[in-house]
Amino acid sequence: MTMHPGEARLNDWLDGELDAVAAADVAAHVDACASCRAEADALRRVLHAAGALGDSIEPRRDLWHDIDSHIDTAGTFELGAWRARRRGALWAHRYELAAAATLLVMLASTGTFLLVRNATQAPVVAADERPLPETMTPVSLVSVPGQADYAAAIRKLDALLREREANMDPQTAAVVRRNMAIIDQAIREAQAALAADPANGGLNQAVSAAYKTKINLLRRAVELPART
Amino acid sequence: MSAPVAAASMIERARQGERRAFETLYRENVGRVYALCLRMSGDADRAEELTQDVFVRAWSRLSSFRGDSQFSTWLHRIAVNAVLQKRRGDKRREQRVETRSAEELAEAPAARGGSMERMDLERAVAALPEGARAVFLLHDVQGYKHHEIADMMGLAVGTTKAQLHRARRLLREALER
Repeated sequence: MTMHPGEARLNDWLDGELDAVAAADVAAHVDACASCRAEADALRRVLHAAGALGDSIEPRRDLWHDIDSHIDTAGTFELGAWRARRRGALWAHRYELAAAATLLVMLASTGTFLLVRNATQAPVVAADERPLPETMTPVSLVSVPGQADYAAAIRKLDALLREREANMDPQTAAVVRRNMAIIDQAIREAQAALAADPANGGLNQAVSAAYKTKINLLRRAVELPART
Repeated sequence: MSAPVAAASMIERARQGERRAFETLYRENVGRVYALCLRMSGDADRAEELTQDVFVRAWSRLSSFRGDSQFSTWLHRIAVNAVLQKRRGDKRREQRVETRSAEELAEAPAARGGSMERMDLERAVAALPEGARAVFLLHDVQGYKHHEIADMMGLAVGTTKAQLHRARRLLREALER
């Protein structure tokens, strides 16, 4: 009689992972060896039970309502409900998010700097403080009419900024454009990451935050006084 | 209309943004997705959360479903990835899983209607160490190959085999008690 095949080989034999010669070897041994036969029979019982487990279990409650409330016909996500549930994903992306946060802080600081610097020159017109939409739009959908609040706001403000740029202090205009380029780059990178992982709540939030920052910066820029 | 044609039409309608069509796909597949999530996570609350994640992900990725495989297979793969992703990011709950899951699985509707052997196996599976449980479920229940499991879990094939053999040994011992 050949040597006992051992646990790994016996499992491989039962799984059909041995070549014909090796399989015949193990089969002959199991046929002749009572302890290996008992071992093989016990494993077969486990496999049989596993096969009978069934592949369907109904949830304790209907989950459709929750799923339905997290999606809409344009494929948008409501951030509020996802924030709490996506803490794990945010932690997994902590380095990317930290980099994004640094950029956003930097941009916010630049905006503040512009405001402070110009506040001494002329009064600033009250900003439009309407809250931004709670439902965010994935970047790929920004051109969908009626869904693209961010895109529409950006287009409007951008046009306004171009109109006013001619009368803006050249140095200030240069700072604004430089920062727009930085935030546009951040948006493009976040878009690319989101395209690769569309359901990632952390990336969704990063894109949303980048849009909000851009809108805030544009709002402040168009409110800057003309050069004196 | 034949079943595959009906399914294809449902998928297309869902892809166009029709929620009712997606709801139909949900109702046809939720049992399989939830079973996988429950057994892999070992926690009913977590399984519900994962199941929701899976369908939200599926909705957002419908445009990438090319029909090369069945919708249920495509969805199943999303579910496996979601569970494994969650598992990698949430190792801290291991203790809770082992104490709660056995009862929850035994009380699950499918298990309630099942045989004593099946209920015993559900309990025994739930009590397996997490890595061994995941490999056992993917290989022996879901039918994935070792190289597929190794790829999904970021392990060597030798490791998934060792985990599977360990799981079977522990289950055999549990069922013989």
